[in-house]
Amino acid sequence: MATYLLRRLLLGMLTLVAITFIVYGLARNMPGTPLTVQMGESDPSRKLNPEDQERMKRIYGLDRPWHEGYLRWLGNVVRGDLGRSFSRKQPVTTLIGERIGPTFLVSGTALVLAWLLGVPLGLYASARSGMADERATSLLLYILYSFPTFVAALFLQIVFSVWLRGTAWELPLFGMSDLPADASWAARAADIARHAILPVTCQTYVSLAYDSRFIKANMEEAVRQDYIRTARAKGAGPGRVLFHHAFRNTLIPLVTLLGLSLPGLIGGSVIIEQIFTWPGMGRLFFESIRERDYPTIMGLTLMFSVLTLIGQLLADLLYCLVDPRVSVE
Amino acid sequence: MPLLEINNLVTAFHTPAGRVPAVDGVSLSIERGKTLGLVGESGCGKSVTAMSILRLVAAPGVIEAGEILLRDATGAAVNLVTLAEPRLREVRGGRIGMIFQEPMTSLNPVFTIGDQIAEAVLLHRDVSRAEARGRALEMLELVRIADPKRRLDEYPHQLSGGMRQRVVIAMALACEPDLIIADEPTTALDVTIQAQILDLLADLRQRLGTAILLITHDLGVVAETCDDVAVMYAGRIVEQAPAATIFARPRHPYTIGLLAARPERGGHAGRKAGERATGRLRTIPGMVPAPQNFPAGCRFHPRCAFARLPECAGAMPELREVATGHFVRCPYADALGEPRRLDEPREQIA
Repeated sequence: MATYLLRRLLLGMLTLVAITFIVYGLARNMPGTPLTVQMGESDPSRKLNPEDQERMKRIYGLDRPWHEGYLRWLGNVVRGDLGRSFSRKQPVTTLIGERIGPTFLVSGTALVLAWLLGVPLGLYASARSGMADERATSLLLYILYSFPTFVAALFLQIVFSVWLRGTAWELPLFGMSDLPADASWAARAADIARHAILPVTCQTYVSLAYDSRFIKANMEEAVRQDYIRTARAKGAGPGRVLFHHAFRNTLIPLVTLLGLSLPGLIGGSVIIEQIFTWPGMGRLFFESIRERDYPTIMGLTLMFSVLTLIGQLLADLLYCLVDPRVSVE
Repeated sequence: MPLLEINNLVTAFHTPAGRVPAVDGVSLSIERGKTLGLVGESGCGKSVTAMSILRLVAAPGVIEAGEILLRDATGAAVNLVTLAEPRLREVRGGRIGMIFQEPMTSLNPVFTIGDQIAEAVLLHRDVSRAEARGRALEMLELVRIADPKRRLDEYPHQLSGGMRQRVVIAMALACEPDLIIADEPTTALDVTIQAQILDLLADLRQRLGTAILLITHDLGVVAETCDDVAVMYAGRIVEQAPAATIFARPRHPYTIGLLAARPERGGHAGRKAGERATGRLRTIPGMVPAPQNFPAGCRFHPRCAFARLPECAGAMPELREVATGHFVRCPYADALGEPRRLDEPREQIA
């Protein structure tokens, strides 16, 4: 077990170095620098003169070739320093700390909702496979699954923020809170919850559709197996066959799915956070790329990569729990 | 009064290509404590017959006609074809146990051996978990698994094929059923393990008095274990008789062909010198017809060495009793049963 974890750790380190090296290379070689993007494009009058530009480049370390920059970034990371954001003049860790809460609020709620609804729905669909009600549900879920999030987000905004404006059903168009910071704790919580409804809905419906279809597909695979016939021949009723014998076997692929959803939990959705102007990680990532804010891009990349690797490791360890055939040795 | 009586069973599959009658009017009966061998080539409908008994035929298969009567000790019968689902579940694993062909896949990989045997007990007996576990241990001892205490907590993947089949047998016997349906129980196993499993089944039958319906394509297995034999061809029984009779005096051309197609141990009196040199096995020419294109009349006639046209392509011959307890579906069975006449046509079959 210990050697296995050690091996996974070393392999993970190598993977992280490879990922960050490639991403840093890509980011640095994108057209534009933090200086040109920030100051030059939006307002030509604020364009820096060449001497100042050179001075700024030296300060940010942009005068060195990108692979040198990467090594310096890597050295700082090893010492626990993710650097400071170019555009926001704050340490990257502070930025991440501010954004992680709002993202977790939306994606955590969405994940819990999607599983709470998706698992029973998938089981229901597999139990009633082929019946009219199951076909209708499955068709609806399929449509939901293929429906792009940004279309759904805009549609929800029109319905709840425009058409229903002034009614009890009205929901905020964007943002996380309209109340001043000195409002009472309860009032702020309620306000944030109201703002979160639409983003959560958007993020839930896709995972919900995916999860339930995934469970149904795996259940249908499981009920075709010989051991299901054995269970029926033993005298087990349909409920026991489905929920005890078949579902226990679908837990195995389900664990992988859960492991893979871990990075999304903290990473958030770029599209949804952008549309709803939700101050989360996804939006920070998008903005940092647009501003060529290399330290922030790299800090987020590192975090997403670490989470992905942890998710995979967690899934592999959970595997041993749900599948007796798998052992870490 | 037979323990199990199947009358005119018809099980068909409704596929997009049309109705496929895999079992087409099968009648069988099994006496208490006896072993009946159901023999035939792949695709003749023997497994579907077995699955029909416990109504385990998978969709799109449907039992369309017939009755399957199961009698208790007093002689009172229930018809399994029409029995309500909850009552049928009492029969499954309770009064009839089932053993499947694939020991590698017929156990659930995520539950321990002990749990899976105990489940069979808990489903049918009003006992505590501990008692069911005790029964599971007893059953593992009964099927002669070494170190049963340890095996109880092991998972199927930790056991060999032969051991898994013993576990499946233990599971099927856990509630002391009157009948065991064994669907090719040894086909997937090594030859040496096959013999052990067959010995075990024979021994258990003797000790527990359980009747066995043994489905197989292996006539050697039948010879060793069965009291009676029913030979199936293209969805129908073509011959049924005590095992000794079938081997000594087969009457149906198909049975004759099957017996001739067995690999011989040692020499064969009727064999010519040339045959011995090549050592080729005899075969029945042609293939089992698929149910959607069963030939008219006797379904075996296109492959039959004795077929007389047009008579054999006319009406389906009836199953009739040619000697006491010996039933044959061939109008020329009496002539075919003469040992003197057998030698010549058998060479033609080869």
